[in-house]
Amino acid sequence: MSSQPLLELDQLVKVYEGRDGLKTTRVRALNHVSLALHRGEALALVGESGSGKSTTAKMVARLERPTSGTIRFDGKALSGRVGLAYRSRVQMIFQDPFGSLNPVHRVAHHIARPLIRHGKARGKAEVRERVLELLETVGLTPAADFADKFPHECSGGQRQRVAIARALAVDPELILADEPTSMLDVSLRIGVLNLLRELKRERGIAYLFITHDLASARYFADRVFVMYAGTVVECLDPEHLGEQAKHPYTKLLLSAVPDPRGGIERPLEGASGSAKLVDPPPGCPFAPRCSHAQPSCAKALPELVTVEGQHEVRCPVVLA
Amino acid sequence: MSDALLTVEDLCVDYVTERGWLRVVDKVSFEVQPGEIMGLAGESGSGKSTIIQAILRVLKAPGVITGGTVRFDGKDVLALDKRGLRGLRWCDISLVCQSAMNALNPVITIGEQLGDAIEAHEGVRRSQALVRARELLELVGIEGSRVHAYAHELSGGMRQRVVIAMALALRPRLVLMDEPTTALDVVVQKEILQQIIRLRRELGFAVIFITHDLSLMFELCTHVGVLYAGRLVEHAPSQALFERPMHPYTLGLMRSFPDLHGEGDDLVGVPGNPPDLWKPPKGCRFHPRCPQAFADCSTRAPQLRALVGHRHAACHLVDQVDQLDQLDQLDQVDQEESP
Repeated sequence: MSSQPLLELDQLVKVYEGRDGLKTTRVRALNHVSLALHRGEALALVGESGSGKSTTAKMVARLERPTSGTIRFDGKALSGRVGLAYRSRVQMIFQDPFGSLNPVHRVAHHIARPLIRHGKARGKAEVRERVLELLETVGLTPAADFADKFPHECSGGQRQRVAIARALAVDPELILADEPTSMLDVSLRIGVLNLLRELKRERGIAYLFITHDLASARYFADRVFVMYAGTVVECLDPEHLGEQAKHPYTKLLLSAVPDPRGGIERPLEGASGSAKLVDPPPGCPFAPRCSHAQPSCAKALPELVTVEGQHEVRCPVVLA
Repeated sequence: MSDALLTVEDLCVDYVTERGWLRVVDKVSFEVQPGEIMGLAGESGSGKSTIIQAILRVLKAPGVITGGTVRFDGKDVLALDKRGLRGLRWCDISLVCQSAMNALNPVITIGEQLGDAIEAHEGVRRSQALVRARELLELVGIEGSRVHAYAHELSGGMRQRVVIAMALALRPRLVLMDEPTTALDVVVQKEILQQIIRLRRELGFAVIFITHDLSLMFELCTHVGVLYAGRLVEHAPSQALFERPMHPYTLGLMRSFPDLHGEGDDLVGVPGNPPDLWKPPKGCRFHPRCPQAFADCSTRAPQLRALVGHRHAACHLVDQVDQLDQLDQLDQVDQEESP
């Protein structure tokens, strides 16, 4: 872990400006997010809608620019337009496998395009060969059959595998996976997660895995970052997610996860509500909903404090 | 006759298309007792939403009910005429559908929308209907004064509560819920589900609940039915099913979702892909994906068979096990379960 991180976010802030009549409103989507991701590591960003997890991925994919803060990839800070070289190292998998494939093109076309664009294969025969290889890697066999299918002839799980093959075409070092399984059927989800895990083991691909599902974060990731209103509130080892979580928001989320052993009537550790992202007040964004809140919470954003090892918590009240 | 609230027997639904008739629900039978929460689990295309729509006779073309019976409180639902259906829908059975939060009319207030249903079905005056609308909102945990709000002024969770209030407006005895919380965040989801449980205790309605989230299904439902490719493959009390699934497909589903507790073992899931209903596998429809399939499975379709402890399963393996042996095993399990 002493080596240089593959991806480093340093105090990332994103403010979107909008209009409400004549007034300009400022929506703070990311609030000083810092994290480091090492080669071959899977890091999960977990949180409810509006927590900034997808925004973080968009920044790294360079689909959006941060308002302030730096993104360093392999030691170099990103600035200006990123070229093909960056795209060949960082790829993205989206949530909706129905929307991310072009319905008028066959499966092979989707995978061939990045191969040609990035010069990974030349000539018809070589491209075809690589396409078939990639389809086999993602478990779509017989590959020749799948290559000539249209997206509508594939199930959701198969389509997501095509999207993974497309991302793999350029041999990326980092894959940004934005809810890659949440639109798939339960029985197919685990297959896709296992495939991503296998690629991590075999090829050393690192992942920024975005999900709202704590259980799949626990299954897939090496570290979990819990986000609330654009702020990382806790960072912990997924294995002990259930027992070691300390931040009141993490605990609220955990108490809301359905438990198949029954327990629907077990009380929630808090209540639902939404964070104020428009012109947010200073202090801890969770304070207005938090049962542990003290007057000091509303004054300044607490620091992320290391509890032990890699477990960090942004809440002085529960740590006191 | 049993005292079941809803009895579905050998229900068949076909899609009539240019290519021919496609059987999407194949001889599904189950019962719902008063006050029970019955869950229907299955992948997309397994027929769960279609069953719900058939029960309420709101199937859209090309879906056609081609066989079986649906009885609600002794009434033959499939034989009802337009007028009879009007009396059944919303009064006896109501529906909360998948994208219900977007089902609200954006240009009239939610109070007026609630009032409309009450006015139309109960024949009360407008002013009375509005008073009831207010009560209903309070029932689902929204301030009564919000009757004057428009749908866009409410959050997704609140809109979903309004739709649930609407479904309860005429005190139905059965509420059909098709993925009512799928689009919501977990905290909001849990709050709404707890509310449903509370309301069910107060008002005593039964629920048929569809979700793809099995953890949620086991947590919420009293009974669970598992569908595969249009057929019911297993049906049992939910905790018994969770402890000891009998059908290999149910077992596969349960090995598909990661858990928050316990060992982070590698999960295997269900290999393969859902079948093409145009050419369903012969015999048991699950056999191409089944790790325990044997010769019989590809030739003969297993029937849903009643087992001990109100369990039902459709699998040759269950048939094969020596019946006495199986009864013993199950009895033991049941005894361990009940303290």
